[in-house]
Amino acid sequence: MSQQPIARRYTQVIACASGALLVLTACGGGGDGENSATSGELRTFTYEDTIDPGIIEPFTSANADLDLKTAIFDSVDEGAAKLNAGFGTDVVEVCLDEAKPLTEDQLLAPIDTSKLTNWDALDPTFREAKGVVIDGEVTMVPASAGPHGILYATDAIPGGIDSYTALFDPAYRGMVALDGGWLTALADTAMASGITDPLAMTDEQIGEMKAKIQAAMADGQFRTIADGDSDMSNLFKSGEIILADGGRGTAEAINANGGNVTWVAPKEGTLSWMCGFGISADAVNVDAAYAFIDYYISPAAQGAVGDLGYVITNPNGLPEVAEEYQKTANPSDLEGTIPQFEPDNADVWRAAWQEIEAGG
Amino acid sequence: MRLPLNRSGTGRTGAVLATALVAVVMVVLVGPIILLAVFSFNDSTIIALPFEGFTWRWYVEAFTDPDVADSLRNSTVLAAVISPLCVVLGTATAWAITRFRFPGRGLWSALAGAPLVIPWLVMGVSGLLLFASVGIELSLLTVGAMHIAVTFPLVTALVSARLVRFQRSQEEAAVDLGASQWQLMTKVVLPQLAPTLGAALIFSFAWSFNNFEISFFTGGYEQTFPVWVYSVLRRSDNLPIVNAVSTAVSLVQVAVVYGMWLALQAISRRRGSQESLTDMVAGGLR
Repeated sequence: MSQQPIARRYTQVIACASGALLVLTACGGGGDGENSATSGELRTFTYEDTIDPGIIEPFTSANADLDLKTAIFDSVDEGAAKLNAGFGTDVVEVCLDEAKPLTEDQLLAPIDTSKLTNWDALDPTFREAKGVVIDGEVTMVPASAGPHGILYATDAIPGGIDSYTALFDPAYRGMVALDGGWLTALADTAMASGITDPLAMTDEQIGEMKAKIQAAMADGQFRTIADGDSDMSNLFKSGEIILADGGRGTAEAINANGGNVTWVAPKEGTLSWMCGFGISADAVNVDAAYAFIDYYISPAAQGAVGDLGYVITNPNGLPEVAEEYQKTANPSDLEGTIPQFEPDNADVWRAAWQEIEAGG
Repeated sequence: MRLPLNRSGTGRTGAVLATALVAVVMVVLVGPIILLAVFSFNDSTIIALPFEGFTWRWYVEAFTDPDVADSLRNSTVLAAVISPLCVVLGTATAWAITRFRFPGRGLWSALAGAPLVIPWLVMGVSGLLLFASVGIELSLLTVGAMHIAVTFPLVTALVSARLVRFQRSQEEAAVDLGASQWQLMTKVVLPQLAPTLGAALIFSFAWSFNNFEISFFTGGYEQTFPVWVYSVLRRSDNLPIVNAVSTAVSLVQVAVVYGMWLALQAISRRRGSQESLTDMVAGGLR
């Protein structure tokens, strides 16, 4: 018995199986049926709550022939990484601080606002925000937003707080958390240090802010760096922290579950995040992408966005928002805030933050 | 015979230390899972003490959520298809590597083992780049293809370890007595390998079902369970639902693994094997 032919036969079997698998995989893609604004297939790549059934159900019901395929991510950074690696989609959720890099990587197509019947109704705070328009072209359509300031345990700090400097006050040593975002943490520290335009910090100033945070961490000022809203909620609820920088939505979530925290807009200024939609540069169903985005900034959909506790971008949607969220959903709330667009020296920011997180 | 006092004392100290070590390991390994289970019954969306009261509602919400059902179905179907394929592919590879001498055998062995040491994140991104560059649309099939790529080497390692320890004289005796290749495999080799193959099936299923990195990058618009979990964790409202469904999934997985383990032990005993199941599964690796 010769063993060599068996090995060869085995290799052939493996090769055939691999080929068959690749062919099957290649055939497994979605259909290329007729695509239009109301039929075919529309692919979206967003946060999980963006495609909350309460928001998009009217759109899917009205477009029963349109197969809406949704993929979700946990952070825009991760979504951007996947897009950069070649993930195909039609509509992608973009936040202000990611619009520029995605545009530079040619992953977003310019938005033709004439195809959006609700575009002109958007509050100018969002429509004209730095990062929404890049080099004269609209890169994203803002659909939700929120302010970022300070939250504190109301019972633990009855006198209240109105400044970012409290984050570094030794009186609260060991009971403070820093929100784990590279932009917000460094920008809040900058405002606590008297810098009025934090997103225009020089490399040297960023280095100083990094040193300030590292010194505070070494001194035990910060209990931890909170990894998102869920983490922050748990830290407040367990009493591990009584003070942190963070979003108003986080405070609302904590209070809705029996917590007692107060969110304030610090006197030095308030950052604001804005998220919305871009159209992928390789979008297949562009008409449906515009239809989806236009629906999302319509008064009816914006009402549902407001009910999730976010600031809406179309003021006409305010009457649609539930009574309890009317105040927090008001677009005028963000007038005068500092939009969180990507700074020109973002690489320096990110490197500084990585060093902080690494404990370096 | 009574042991001398000092030996008895040493034995007791050893037993105490061993028990303490096991306790520490159990706390580290099982503690977080127990906490997860406990808080899945807490009537609050925030995972922190004090306990707000007992509730089943997170389980009700979890199992009435169509996204949870879809992701669980996707992961289960994927793992159910992937695991037997990997067992076949991994066993064939192990057989070829351990039983034949052919040109490029070393290279083939290294290639087969490489996915075991390459980080899954790298494998996921590589897979995404590959599929994107050849224009293959991402779907459960692309996830499955990559799961096979990273999982069958595990089977190869397990089965190779067993085959290396397997007494070749039994194979030679069968051939001398006129057994065909098919008879050799079905009457001699596979019965000996059965417990290892069973264990490999369990591990393959678990690897595929629990995989996040590769599923995230090579998946399209059909989510697997780990990707769903990761995607919804951003909002604290979702935490208890994730706790509930994760507790249920963990319990099912433990029950399945334990059931399979018992079945394999029974098979092993019926065959009159002198080796323990652990030896048969991983003995060759030691």
